[in-house]
Amino acid sequence: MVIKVLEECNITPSRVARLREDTLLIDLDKSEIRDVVRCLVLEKGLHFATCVGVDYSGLSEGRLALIYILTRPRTKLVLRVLINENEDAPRVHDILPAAEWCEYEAYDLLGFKTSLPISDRFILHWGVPSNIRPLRKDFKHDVRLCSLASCKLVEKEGFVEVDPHHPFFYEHEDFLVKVVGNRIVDVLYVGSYINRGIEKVGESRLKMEQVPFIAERICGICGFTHSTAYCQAVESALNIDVPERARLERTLMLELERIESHLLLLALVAYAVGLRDIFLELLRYRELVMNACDVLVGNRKMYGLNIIGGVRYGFTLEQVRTVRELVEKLKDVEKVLDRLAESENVKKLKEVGVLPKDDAHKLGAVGPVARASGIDYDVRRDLPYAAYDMVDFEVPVMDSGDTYARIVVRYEETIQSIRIIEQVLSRRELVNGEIRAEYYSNPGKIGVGMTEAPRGENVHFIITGHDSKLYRWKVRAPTYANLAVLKRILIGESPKNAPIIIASLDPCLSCTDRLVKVRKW
Amino acid sequence: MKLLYLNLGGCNGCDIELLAGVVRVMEKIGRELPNPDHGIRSRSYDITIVTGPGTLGNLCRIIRDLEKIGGEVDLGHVIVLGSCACGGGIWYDSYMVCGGWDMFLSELVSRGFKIRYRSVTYVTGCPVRPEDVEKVLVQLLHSYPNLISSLT
Repeated sequence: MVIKVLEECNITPSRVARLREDTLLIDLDKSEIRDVVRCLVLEKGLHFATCVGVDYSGLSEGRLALIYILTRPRTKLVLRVLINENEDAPRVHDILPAAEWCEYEAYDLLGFKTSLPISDRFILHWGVPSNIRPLRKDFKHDVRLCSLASCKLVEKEGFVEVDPHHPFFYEHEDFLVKVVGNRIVDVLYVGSYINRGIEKVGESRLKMEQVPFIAERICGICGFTHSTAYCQAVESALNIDVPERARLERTLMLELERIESHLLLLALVAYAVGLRDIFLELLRYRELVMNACDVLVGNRKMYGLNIIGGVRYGFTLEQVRTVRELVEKLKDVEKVLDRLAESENVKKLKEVGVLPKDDAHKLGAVGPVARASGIDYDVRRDLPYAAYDMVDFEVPVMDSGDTYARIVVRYEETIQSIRIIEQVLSRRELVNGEIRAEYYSNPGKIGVGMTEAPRGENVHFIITGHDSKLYRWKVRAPTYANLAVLKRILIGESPKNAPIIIASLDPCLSCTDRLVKVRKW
Repeated sequence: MKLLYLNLGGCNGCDIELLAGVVRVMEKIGRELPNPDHGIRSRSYDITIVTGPGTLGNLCRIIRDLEKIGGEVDLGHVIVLGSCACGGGIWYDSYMVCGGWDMFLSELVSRGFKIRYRSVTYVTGCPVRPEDVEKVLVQLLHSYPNLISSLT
């Protein structure tokens, strides 16, 4: 039990506030946080999800806070450290590398006082004036930084750019590697090109019930999982029970999205290793999934289905029949994927870009990347949401941690997703019953929503505010966690393998940059 | 034919539908489209495809490109894909976003860069549908036969 684990780390049960059955809130002092995180994550093996900086001046406390979110099977731990304006910020990233980006992000966007030698911005590194701290409550979301920023860019001497993507899937992000002889010796990732300021827009302009639609636009590949995670966070904070039919509909769309995303990645892998026919074949199978979504919600992407407390419309029997036919055709994709996994070009990727289990845990890897390194953790099974407790599926895990394993794990997950979809489609509740629950909003409630996105554990954290608005919304997309392993798996490899190794993490950069970040390790 | 493809901070939705659209175009005209540049590397282009709301990061990236090249740049026929690129979409007043292709361009112009183009076509949708991409590209190629004849 988690209470016992907490006691072993010197937290008495009386300090633990139960927000919901699976969510615990603990207020900690700044002097304690390092020991507690060291004990819980490094000794007891809890998973560190993310940390969130909050400006509490609009609610009663009137102070700054840094909130650490830990997860482990069946529990979400929210560790809150409240500090005064002139105090030094809490810091754990020197003992736990996984916390580095989220802490720097909080320092930059909220303007925490730190004694760290950060000379310039971590996230807003475009020559933005130093008094601009976007996530402070007195900052207006419609300030136009485009005309304020000087656009002075950091020089990167001695690095070579890597271009891992098919020329038509291009998000601008710099992956830079330094090469000596035939080995990569250093890696640099420069991000934040796609930062659109989504968290601030969600907290200021939009009402709580409008946010699911902007949450879906975080990403054009795995958007639905974001809107689901957001809705779950609010449902958890306001104690809303979602009807069974809505949960089944969410499960169906989530799994269709997973297949679509995995097929896209596997197609890109096929392209990268020179199997052009498999690339085109996989894209053709992917069109079947897009058509199924078109039949169900009327749009190939951006389903617009989720609302707080349920879904917007119920599927009809006719729609379900059409989708069943499409899924029947989709089953043949297994043969194509077999050919991909059996091909010599892909088998060559064994022992390439190895991520050992230990490092995967310390760096906070999630999803297929973690499962390929032997970490048996899947939110769908360990912290069931939507209707995953009603279906039967397996979680593929491999031990070798190499690029080949990351590809095979995704291949097997695709097969499992088809199994889940078939089970959901055969349930009568999918076309009968209520689709949404009524709810009332209260200010100051905390909620954590988690889903297993195609790329791994996706965490949304919310604090509700007044006038049915959000007070704070934080998104931790899976790629945010997975990019931290980049340096570990690239150093020592041959540069010609770099594109495929980066691609095997399936980096989704619009998710990661929804808020921005990253300058150096 | 020289193709420029600018992702100005889009979510990838339009970009993937663009791929689906381009595959259809190639099937229809029976020729391959060239691989596009992803940043401004040359002084003149025949077709420029734009997606995304125009984020600050991408503004700085394009400025870096333009500074390297110097002088006037001709973008040719501009195709603006998706609600975000058309007018900023849901992000229109966010602090990190310039707000659509028009605002993005005027920001560049106000910083003293010289940019020319022949036409602008707006395609809305979130994301755009591949049928629309196909229609726009095929129409454009048919109205300018010299573009098609430069393809192999």
